[in-house]
Amino acid sequence: MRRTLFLKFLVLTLAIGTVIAAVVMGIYAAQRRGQMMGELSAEVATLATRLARPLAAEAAENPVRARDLLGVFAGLPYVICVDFFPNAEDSPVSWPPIGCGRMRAGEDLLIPALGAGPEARYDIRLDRDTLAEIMWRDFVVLVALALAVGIAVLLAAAIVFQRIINRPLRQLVRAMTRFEVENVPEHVDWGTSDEIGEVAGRYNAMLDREVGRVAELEERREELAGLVDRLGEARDAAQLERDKAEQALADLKAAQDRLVQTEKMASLGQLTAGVAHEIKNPLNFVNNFASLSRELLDELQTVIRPAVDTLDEAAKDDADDLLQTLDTNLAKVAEHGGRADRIIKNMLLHSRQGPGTRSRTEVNHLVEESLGLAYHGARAEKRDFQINLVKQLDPAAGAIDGYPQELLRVLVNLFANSFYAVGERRDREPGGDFEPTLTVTTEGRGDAVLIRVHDNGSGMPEAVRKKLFTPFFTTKPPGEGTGLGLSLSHDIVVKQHGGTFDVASEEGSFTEFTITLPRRTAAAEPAGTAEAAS
Amino acid sequence: MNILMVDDEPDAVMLFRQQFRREIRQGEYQFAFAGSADEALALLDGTVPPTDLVILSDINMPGRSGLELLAEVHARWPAIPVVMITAYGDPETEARALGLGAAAFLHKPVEFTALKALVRAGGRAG
Repeated sequence: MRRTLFLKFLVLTLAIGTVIAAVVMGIYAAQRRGQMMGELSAEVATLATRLARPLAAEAAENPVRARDLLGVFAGLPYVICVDFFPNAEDSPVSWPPIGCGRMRAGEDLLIPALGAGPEARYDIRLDRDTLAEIMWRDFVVLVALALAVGIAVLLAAAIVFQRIINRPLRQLVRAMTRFEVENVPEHVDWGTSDEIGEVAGRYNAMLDREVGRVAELEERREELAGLVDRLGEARDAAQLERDKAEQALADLKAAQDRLVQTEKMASLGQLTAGVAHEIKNPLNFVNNFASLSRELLDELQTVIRPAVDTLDEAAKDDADDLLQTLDTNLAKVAEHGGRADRIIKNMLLHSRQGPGTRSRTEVNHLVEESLGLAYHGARAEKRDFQINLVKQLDPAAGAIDGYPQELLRVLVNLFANSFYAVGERRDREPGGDFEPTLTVTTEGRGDAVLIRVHDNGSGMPEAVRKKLFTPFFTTKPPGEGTGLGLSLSHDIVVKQHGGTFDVASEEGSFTEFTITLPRRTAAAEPAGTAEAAS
Repeated sequence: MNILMVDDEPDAVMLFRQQFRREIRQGEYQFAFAGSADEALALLDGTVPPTDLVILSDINMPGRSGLELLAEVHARWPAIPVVMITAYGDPETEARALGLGAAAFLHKPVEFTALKALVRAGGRAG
């Protein structure tokens, strides 16, 4: 760009200079030519006229001197001939005498010594070609001078151009390039107030605006980045909330399913209670009539004894045997009736509403009763169920003040869980020498009593152990557990009785529950949640 | 002494008669039987003299319940002791019965030794 502009400037200046110089010199040369010819002729003529008389006089007296005077003309290159007229009427004496031609300096002049009249004169003839030649030489010198001046002017113009236009432009371009490529804003300044200076000022202002705009853009970009970040955060938060909501929904569904199940269990409990109530009445009759009949049979024996004694030996034995068998049978009816009555009582116990009554309870007795209930329950469910029951009951365990029916439920639930766990392990290790064993321990500890239930069943992993007391958490298949048993038990032991409820377990090896109950329950608040069937 | 048994189960009467057979044989007690509360009230109004009498009544019966009977008897003949006998011995019912003026509250199956002692004491517990 720089070069192009400079070249253009040079070519243009050169062309204009050349044309101007040519025109000026053409006109000058033309004018000078005519002017010089005239001037020269006039000058020579004047000189010749003024010299005519003295020269004529001199030539008469002193020819050498005259010859010297003529020699002045002879020194002029364009004088070719001198004609001397001594009088107006006389024919001229020409010099050089052999004809007009080019005169040579030093050449012997032969001036005729003639008496000159008052009108004596010289005519000097000039050689136009020599004159033209001289003039051409002058012209060439002039052209050379003009060219030299033109070149000098051109150079000066170039230098000025370089100083006032080209250098600032280059500086501007450099600044632009630096800003464009390296993004370094650089002001230009060449200390003038002309158009170039204005360009610099405008460029500087534009640069400042551009820099400001860039800074603003950067600011906007950062703002935007911040917004994008915040948006991302908001999106993450929304995602989290959605996950939570989904989880809550899933939990809700699970809870709903379990509630339905629990409701089923509860209706089953009611049904059981109804059946138990219905059976209880006739069973009472069976038991009452059975014991009454034994009494009556006793009385009958007393009444008929004398009569029997009169019979012969065989008949007497027969009668005794019959009476005896009858008595045994009635005893059996009473015994099994009693058993049925106990089962009915347990059924009623399980469906009973409310927290029951608070009373003093022998812990060992409670443990034995609940173990019996759980064991018979398991046997009733599975004919081939069998387990080693180890009881380590501390005679000093003594009694506690609490809600025996609630505690009975807790223990039955624990034993049932243990039975389930050993059953699971046996199913997992068929044919092995696994011996299902449940050990229940009681221990009197001053103000408290400890009950420990240990089984060598399937155990449980840490994850299960952590959730064990969570309501509705169960590891049993659907329909087999409500997930409420241990949570209710926990409530009963901890909230209702102010005791502690701990669990230790190792998967595939054992589970051990440890309950401690204070002898005198501080918190007598009934566990409201303990009303549902376990 | 007269004993009025109110129970919708006829076998209950049979059971009680057998239990009290000696006393009945010796003429110590006269047994009357009513299958419902209304029947019992009719008897009280008519044939059975409402003196020297203990009423043993079931609670759950078709028609009016034992508790309603208890309330009416207690209102009309405050001197007659009424012993309630039931299979549903929840504390609430017991409290209600005692509040209505029952002389005693017994659970089925009945402990006859205790019942006999109670009747001998004229229906008053303790």
